[in-house]
Amino acid sequence: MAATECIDRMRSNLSPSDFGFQIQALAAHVLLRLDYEIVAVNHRGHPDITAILYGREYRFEVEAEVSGPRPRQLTPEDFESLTETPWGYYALAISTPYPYWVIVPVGNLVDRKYPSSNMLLEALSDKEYSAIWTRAYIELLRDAGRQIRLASFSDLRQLALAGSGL
Amino acid sequence: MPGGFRIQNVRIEGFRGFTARREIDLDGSHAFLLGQNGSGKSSVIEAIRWGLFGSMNRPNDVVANRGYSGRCRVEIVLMSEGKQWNLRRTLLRGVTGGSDPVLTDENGEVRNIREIMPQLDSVESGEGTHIIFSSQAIPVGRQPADLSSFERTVFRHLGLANPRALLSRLNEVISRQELTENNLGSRLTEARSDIDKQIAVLARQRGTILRIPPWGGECQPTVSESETKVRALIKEVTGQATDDTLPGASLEALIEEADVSLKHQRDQGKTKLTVEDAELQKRLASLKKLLDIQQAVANTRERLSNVQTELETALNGATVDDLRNRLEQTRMALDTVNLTRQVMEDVSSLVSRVQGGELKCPVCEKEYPRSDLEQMLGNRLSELPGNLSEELAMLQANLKRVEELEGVSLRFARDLDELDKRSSAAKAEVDSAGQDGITDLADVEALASHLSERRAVIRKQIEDQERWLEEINTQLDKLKEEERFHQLQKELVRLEGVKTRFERVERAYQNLVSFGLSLRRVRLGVETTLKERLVTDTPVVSRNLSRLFSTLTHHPWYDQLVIAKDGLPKLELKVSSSQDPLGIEEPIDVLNGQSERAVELAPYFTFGQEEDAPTEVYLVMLDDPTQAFDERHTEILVECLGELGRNVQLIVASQETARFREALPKSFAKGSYVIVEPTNWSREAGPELAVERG
Repeated sequence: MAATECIDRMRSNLSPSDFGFQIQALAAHVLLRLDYEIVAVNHRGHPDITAILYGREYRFEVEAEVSGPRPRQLTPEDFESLTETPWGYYALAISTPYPYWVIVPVGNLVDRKYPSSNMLLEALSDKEYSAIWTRAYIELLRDAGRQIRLASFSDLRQLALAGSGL
Repeated sequence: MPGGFRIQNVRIEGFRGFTARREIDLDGSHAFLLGQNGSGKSSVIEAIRWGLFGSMNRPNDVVANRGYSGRCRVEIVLMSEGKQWNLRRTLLRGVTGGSDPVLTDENGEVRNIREIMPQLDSVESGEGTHIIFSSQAIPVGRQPADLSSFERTVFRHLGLANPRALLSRLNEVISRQELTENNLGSRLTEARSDIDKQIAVLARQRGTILRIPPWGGECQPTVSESETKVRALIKEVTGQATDDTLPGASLEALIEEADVSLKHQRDQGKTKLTVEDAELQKRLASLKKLLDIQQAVANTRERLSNVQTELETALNGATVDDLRNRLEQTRMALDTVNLTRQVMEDVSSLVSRVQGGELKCPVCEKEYPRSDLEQMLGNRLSELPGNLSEELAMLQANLKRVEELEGVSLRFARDLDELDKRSSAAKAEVDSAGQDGITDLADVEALASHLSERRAVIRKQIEDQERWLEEINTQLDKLKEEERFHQLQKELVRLEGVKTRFERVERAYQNLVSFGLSLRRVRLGVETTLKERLVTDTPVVSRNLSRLFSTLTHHPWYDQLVIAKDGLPKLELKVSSSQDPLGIEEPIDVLNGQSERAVELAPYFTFGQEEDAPTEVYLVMLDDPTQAFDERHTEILVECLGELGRNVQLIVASQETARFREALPKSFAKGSYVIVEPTNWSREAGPELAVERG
């Protein structure tokens, strides 16, 4: 199944909130594919995902664009949890016109007074890291589209925490 | 004006409560304005401030005296390095409007105020580096702990004015940069989203066409191939001989031409055939009408004939009048018989009641034997005809039927007359349609049959033409779909081009944002360095602040007033105790009102007392600094003012007249100050100023 089709089906079958959680769980699986160890995938609280690579703790706040671009701003709680390590990122999943990730080092978002548009987030993002995420994400959607559509957030979370990739 | 300045003289006219010009001759000495509340002390200080800066403590404060007909003007004579300068400020209009400052030198020549006294031009309402002004009460929004009004002084004092200015400038630039980044980012996001949406819509439409391609299963036609197909279609529709219809025309124009041609063909062909068909239909309708009338005539005639036959039978050779006479006669005969029978029956009844053998006939009065008479009566009764009633009924029925038949016959006759007229009209109509010579029903039927056949042929032609047009139309629809496909392709190519160009804009935007990030990194560097320097250097300022603070308050615990470390590079005052081993810094709201006032005053003294620092404070103006002070602290304050007055010129207003008069000679050298007491205040003349050299 094509990646775009997989995302489109998820979007039409899930509520915006559930779609957001599903994308969060998929982000954990993207990290798994990038050899991270998933330490936490939080349904509530901050950060959304904690992962370890080469002994470093990475933290991610994940958001999914559900219905078109809109300006976004991290909450003070988001900042607090992400800035506790030097490797805190804001991860935004874009779905139209095709799926891709925008991964922004949280340092680039600190001290911004206004919500940031997609274009600004992309300009602030780590392009190389975003591209790596996007590649892994597309492959994940292609390889396991059906499995992803049938699995719940909880299923995907458990698998990610167990280190079982899709 | 290097080396600072001293105020020599102040002249006030029409300012707030002042009317006619009042003058204070300071000659460079300090001025203590003493007097009760409302006497005009603050107005003098405000006048000097307005004269220097053109601004009031509050932006909308009234400047001019509304009741004074003269101008509102303040003139200040300043002395700097042996040169005298005259600064005259005049209110331009209204009571709160702008003002016009004029600076003249000793020769009366007007000089550029920005060049000579830049500090007066750049200082905002309130305190500056060179002149420090403390208003009567803490201005709204400024807490005693807030050192922002003294920031420039502190930073200059520490030799950090440039990094602070740089940081301030960076903040401004970054703020503007962020606004630009956001505005541009939003617009670009919207633009890209629009492009993506348009591409998605067009690609979807193209996909729909490609699922069932109008050109069949072959490969996609080029625009030129589609044009050739449309030209061939136009040729077929119009019947033109040439293959090159509309040379050089676009596919869109050709499709339009084909559409027009097809419509024209459809209208024209349809008109010709349908007109003929309609004509035939009309003629057939006329014939049908004639045929129907003639049929009705025949039917009516036949029914009339039947009625007349039946009438003849009913009359049986007689006339209707004969029948009526016979009926009358029969009715009369029946009446006679009935009467006779009644008489006979009455006589018989009478006879049966009379006694005797001989009876007199009651009719003829002759004598008859009873038996004869009874015999006679019986005979007469039996002789009476018995079927007259039936005959009468039969005659009546026959007459009724005859009368009915006569009526029907008459109606049929009238109908025939009417039908004849209609037949003549219908025939005239048929004749007018070019069908002369129709004489009978057979002619009409033959003609109707002929016309029906002709009409069937026309209908067939119309159907064939419609089928052909439908086929052409289907072909044209497919070609239109092809043309739409080419349009979509063209638009998609265009949009892809736009997107490619847009990517260049995106890259430029990314460069802009990267520049913003660099600016932030620079700011972070400057801020960190500045903070490090402030952490090292502010304790010196804190020590000076603490010395003044502890002198003014003698607080049993809090003896230190410090610039808080945790807020740097923002300057905020906190209090702490030298007795506290942990050195905890606490907000100043732990203090009482008097100590809080001391906190507020401390910076004025601290920055004015630095002899070696490049602070360059020339003038300190304090309006009612002893607010909330008791007698002892007022004395201490005057002592502190004495120290401060060694370096800067002081203009101080206080309502503590007696305490100041007593304390001033102890802390100030004779002749180094003047006491100004506003007196005799009146609404018309304002205050008078009694100046006394101390």
